[in-house]
Amino acid sequence: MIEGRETVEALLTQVVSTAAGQPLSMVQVRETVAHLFSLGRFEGVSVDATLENGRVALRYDLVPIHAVARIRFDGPLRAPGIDQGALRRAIVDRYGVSPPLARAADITRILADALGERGYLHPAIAPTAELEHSPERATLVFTIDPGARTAIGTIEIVGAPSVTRPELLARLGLTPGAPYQREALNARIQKYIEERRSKGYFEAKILPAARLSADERIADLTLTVAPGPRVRVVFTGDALPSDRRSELVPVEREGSVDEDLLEDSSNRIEEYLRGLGYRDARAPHARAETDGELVIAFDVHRGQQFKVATYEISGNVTVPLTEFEAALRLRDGQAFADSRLDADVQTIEDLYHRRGFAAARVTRAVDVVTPTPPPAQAPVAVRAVINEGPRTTVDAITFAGQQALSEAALRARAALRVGAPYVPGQLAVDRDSIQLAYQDLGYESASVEARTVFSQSDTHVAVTFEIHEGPQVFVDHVLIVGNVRTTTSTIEHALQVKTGDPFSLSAINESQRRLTALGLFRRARITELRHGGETTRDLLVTIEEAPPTTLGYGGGVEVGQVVVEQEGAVAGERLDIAPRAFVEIGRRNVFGKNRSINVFSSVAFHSQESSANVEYRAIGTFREPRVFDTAADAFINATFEQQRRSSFNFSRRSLSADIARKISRMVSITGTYQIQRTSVFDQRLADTDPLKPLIDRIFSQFRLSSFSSSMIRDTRDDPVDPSRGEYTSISAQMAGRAIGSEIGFAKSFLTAQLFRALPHTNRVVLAASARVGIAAPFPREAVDAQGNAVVVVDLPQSERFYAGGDTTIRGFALDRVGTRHIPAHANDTLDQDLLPVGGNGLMVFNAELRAPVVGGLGVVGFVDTGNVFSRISDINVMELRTAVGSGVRYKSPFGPIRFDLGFKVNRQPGEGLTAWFISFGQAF
Amino acid sequence: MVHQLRTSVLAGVIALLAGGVIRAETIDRVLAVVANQLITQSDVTAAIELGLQSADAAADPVRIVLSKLIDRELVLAEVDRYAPAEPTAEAVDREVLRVRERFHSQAELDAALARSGIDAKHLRETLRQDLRLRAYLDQRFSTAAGRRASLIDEWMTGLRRRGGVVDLYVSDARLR
Repeated sequence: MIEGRETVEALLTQVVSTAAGQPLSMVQVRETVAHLFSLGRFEGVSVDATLENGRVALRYDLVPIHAVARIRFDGPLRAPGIDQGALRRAIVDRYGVSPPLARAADITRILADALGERGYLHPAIAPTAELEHSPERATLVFTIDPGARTAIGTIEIVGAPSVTRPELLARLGLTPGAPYQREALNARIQKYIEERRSKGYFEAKILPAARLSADERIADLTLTVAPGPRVRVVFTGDALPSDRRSELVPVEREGSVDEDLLEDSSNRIEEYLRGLGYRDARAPHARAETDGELVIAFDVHRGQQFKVATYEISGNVTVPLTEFEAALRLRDGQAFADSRLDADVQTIEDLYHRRGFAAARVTRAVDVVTPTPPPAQAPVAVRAVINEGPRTTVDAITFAGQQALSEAALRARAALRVGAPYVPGQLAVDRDSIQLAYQDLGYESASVEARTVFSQSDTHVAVTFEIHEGPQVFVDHVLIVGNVRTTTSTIEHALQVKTGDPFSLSAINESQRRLTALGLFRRARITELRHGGETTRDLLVTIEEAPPTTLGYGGGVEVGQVVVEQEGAVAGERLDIAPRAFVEIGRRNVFGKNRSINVFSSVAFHSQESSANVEYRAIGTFREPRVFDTAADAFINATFEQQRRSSFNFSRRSLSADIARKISRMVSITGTYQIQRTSVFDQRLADTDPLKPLIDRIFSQFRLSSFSSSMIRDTRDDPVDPSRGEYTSISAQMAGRAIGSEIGFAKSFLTAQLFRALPHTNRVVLAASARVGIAAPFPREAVDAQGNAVVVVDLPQSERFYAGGDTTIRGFALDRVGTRHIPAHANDTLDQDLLPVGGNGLMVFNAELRAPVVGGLGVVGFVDTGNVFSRISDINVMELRTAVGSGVRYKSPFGPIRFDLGFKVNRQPGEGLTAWFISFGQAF
Repeated sequence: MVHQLRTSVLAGVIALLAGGVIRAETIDRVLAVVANQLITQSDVTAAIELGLQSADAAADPVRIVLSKLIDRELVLAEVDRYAPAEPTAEAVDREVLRVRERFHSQAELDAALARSGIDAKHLRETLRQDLRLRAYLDQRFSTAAGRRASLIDEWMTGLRRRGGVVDLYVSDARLR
């Protein structure tokens, strides 16, 4: 019964364990109560039993949660100083806009505190709930009688403030008879004190105290004022760099001259100087108060500066010096600092401990070689003597107390091995690993003790892991609530735990991760619910679904250089400004199965006279996750596009089906079948051009049917603007007449990129990229325009490789990298007018340094090199075209915006010197 | 044995309802939620009947025992975070025996368990948790034997203040 109305809702009846006709079991009653409550929909669950003719009738009464839709305040709230908005904010800040009704008592206390701050120390507040049904909601009503407001009575000032009494009272907003508002007074005092401190009065204090009258309607105030002296910090003795003083003695930043702070400051100065080699540096401080001013003097004595003359390490019999020398911080010729020597000692001891020398110790000695009076540096000889001690080997590893896990399974969890060196730190790691193995099996209170027994000479140790398993906890029920559009089976698929499984925290965490990764939910939470038997838990999966439809749109301007033909001269370049716009509509969780449909379309309007002055692309994608119940996702894509290139334009319609699968977190593979129809038009290479391949004359329209596959390994920390990691991909494509293609070829493309933050720099990133493409056409017979039978042995124009542009070789406009000879060679990839022909081979290498400057601004310097080759056999690294340049980056809220200016290094006659680009994202 | 237990339950419920032939009696309900753990009316009656918690002749024994069970759950949540030494099986056996001794016969204990809807395994687990709880308190407050009680009180006050307790028994009364 839900509020007296009978319900047959399946979700409710399926969790009722008490069946009609069965003997009454209170165990089942308890279980049912727990399950019903766990659904999270009810704030009250009770079971009534009625005896009828020797049979018991059970009635489950459910009180739905009435979400608080409104909060209302009643009562005489027009009293001065009462701000209903502030009262509401006090509730919302703590409990949100829809506080639980069960928290009414707590909220009442919050309101009482808020009114107390306004001077109403004894308000009467009564909470009530006005319930509404269908839908279930409530108005939480607080009837407030604020009572009498406490006013300020007398104001006594103790001490000697630095300003007059009226001025002090005015600054603190205090007047006899005004309301007594404690927090507001404290805030004004704090502001006043901060102002005094900014003027050097670091010890200024005002302590307020209130004495309430018997009826608490009058508060007599006493302000104890300590103005404190004005503080001045001076440095005597040896000089300290002025830019380090405020950092070493932070009295101004801390607003305090506390003795502990001054002591720390002395130590900080001494540490700083010792780090510079002044081993005996001293910087005591003294306080002196004269004429109301407190002078804090730091008397700096640097003393002798020492430098490392020799650094000798001995006693290392087992570990050669070369194995740890690079990790040492102290170096010959460097200023000597004890802290660096301490770090070296720790490094060496840690290394030995990891090698099984548990008792290894390093003793050190520092001796002055030649006494030299200051200010000259005194050379010191530093010696570190290693006492390796015995090497301890693990003799035996035994386990005791285990029942649920076999000894072999436990042994596999331990990294310590019999016969291997004994590492004390590893012992703790192994203990935790074994404990985790138990917790993954539901032994949540399992504990593991590691015990060691050493041989007399400490050369051998026997390790025992003593296990107290405790009880195993199982998942009783998995309750899924809140899903409206998403099917329960989709959610269950993501869960790694089900009824009867051990209560494994790692499985629950993984389930939580997978639910979030589905991308369907605004929030997905898994909570455990204990009830009845303490060795069982229910899992409550609470889902808050995200809106199913997403809409994105935007616009902008694309600015760049485009190729223009010039009569009687080589092709030139001119500025092209093209307005762009895009719109993207997505619908996720189609049919409740996490399928999604996305449609993306973009359009750009170019000013150049051409049949393709409108560029467009429309892509529709349908995604089927976990296709055929496998770990792979399937995609079906349909694309309609019209694009401009430097020596031609094309339009294309294509349909493809992809299967993609992640092999690991970093590696994914994809297999694709694609069928497409491409029309090439506005060909700028004249038919009489000897470099124009035969295929371009015959197949201006063609159908391509191909299979392709790719593998990607991606360890980048950020796909948009990475600072570390690598990206590698290899892809292969095969088109052939046997599968319905009019043209056949095999094509492969390799990309390898590396990103590294340079050490000892301010986040300067080195980015390097290598791209190599090769293609081999399959010859086919065709008929030319004159009706002659010919053999075509090229890739179509739109399928050949090109280079040049903002993502390949900057310094060249789009596609304009190639080789030209005068007179022309058959394997040239630029014609005599410098128009790109394209090729079957491609190499592009880039190196770029990315340095942040200020805010979101950064600069880059780059070297790009590469070329396009007519045939694979023509690939020649001696014929690479190179560009160098620099650019500016701005990390905008929409992603990185970049400007790059590239200069050609080895220009060919007719080529311009530069090319520049403005675009989004990094070049690679 | 199972049949005998069921008969006892039925007899218990019939006895509960014997005052009025048709009148409905609430035999269980949710009274509080502490750290995701439900505390039901049957938990309270079980704690009283099995002698696990005392109501000390209070006017509202449910209120008193419920408050103690709420505190127990708050402490257990802390115990789970710091995992004290696991009690031995013998120590748990002794606690079970102690509960058994509060009843004249095993059948009487079984009937009390059945009325509360808990079984022997559940009782054993409850007693094990009690031992863990005691071990935790001994470990945490061992050095302050003289002030132990006041320190525990102070600590409990802190737990109550920050623990997510939904006390439906209280809020029902206040909101009604």
